[in-house]
Amino acid sequence: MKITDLSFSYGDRNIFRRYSAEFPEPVCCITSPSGTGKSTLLKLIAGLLTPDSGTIEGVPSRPVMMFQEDRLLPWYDVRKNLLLVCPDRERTDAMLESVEIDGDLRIAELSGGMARRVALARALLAGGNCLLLDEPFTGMDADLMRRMAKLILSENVPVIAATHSGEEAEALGAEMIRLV
Amino acid sequence: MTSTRRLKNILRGAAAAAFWIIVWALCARAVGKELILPGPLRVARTLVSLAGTEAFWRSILTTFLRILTGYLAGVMLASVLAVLTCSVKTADLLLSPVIRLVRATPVASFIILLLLWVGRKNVPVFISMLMVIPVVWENLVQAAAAVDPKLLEMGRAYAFGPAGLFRHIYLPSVLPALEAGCLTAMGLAWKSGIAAEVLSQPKLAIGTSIYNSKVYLETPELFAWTLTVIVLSILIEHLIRKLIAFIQKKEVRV
Repeated sequence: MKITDLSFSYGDRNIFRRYSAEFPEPVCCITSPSGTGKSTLLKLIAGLLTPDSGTIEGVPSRPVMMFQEDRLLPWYDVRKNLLLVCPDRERTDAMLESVEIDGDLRIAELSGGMARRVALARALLAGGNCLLLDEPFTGMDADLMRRMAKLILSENVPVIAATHSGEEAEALGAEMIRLV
Repeated sequence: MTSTRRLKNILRGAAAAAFWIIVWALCARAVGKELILPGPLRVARTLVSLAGTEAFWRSILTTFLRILTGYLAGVMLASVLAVLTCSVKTADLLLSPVIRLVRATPVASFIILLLLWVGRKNVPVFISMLMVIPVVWENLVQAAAAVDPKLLEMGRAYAFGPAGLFRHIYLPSVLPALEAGCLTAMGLAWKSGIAAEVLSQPKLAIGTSIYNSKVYLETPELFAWTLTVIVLSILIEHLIRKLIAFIQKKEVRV
């Protein structure tokens, strides 16, 4: 995946000015201090935002985004949140087992780390051919993080993850790219 | 709610009601004129004797159907108008001032105008509908504007489609506001619908009976009819709450 001369701003606030980079496959991690545009870059790659100028090449046809916030629907239970993106009940239940969450729980009953795993499960079930993960391991201990990293890698699709620590990149076996 | 707590609440409500009935009885005794303020026992006796007539039940049924028709039409029309207001800028520009105008216009003006336009039988239906539309519309438009944009972005990213966004994000987000709007609107529909009946006097109607009680100085009857309206209003409010709770529960089911 290659980015060339990318410029993007929110109103008057410039986020990228003629930014260029190449992302190694299959797995790479983007790191940078908070507020420097990691989430914006993932949204630009996902096509949720449109660049002011520049190009992003080599993005697979169906990228799936896991947002920095969990963005789960609080009026549904965990299982229904997943069934909305994957109506196959068997696959959904198997994924719930993999992320070690009870599907009957209500969203309000989840801890931060549990909600993160449900959001991750949703992204994995969405059937994309590229995963864009924005801080996927927030709220997880080292052991759980390694298990979830293994689950992500078992999908065998290209992954770009925005992370804070080298430990997370290491768990994913990813090459690190510094945004700033 | 546990059964003991529910029983406690019922007892508390009954005690409050008993207190005010005693106050009412004492006031009626102090006034000493049934024409001005009849006592609760006299009103209860009148209500029982009214309930023994066929006209009483037919009046309730026709009034109920008229107001319910206007109310349901109002809720549906307000929902359609709210969707239009939220999705089409021109619709917002055209509809907002009209709906605000309807809300600001005195109900009596509408009743007189509708008497000329739609005939006395239909006035309560139209009045109920007109009173419901601004309340439900405003609640829905405000709630739709407050829907979490991050959830909408998530819905778009996961290809929910317009129908999915509506069903899984917009609808559950606006349901509490719709509930509040529907409950407020029900009270308004009853009051304005019966006021419309008093002025338009269709055959067999609670409003017409209230008007006749006033003409024949039958104050206990007036109180009995008013009591009937209050009880019906509480029952319908309870039914709407149950209906919305049912919709919310059904939405959670897979």
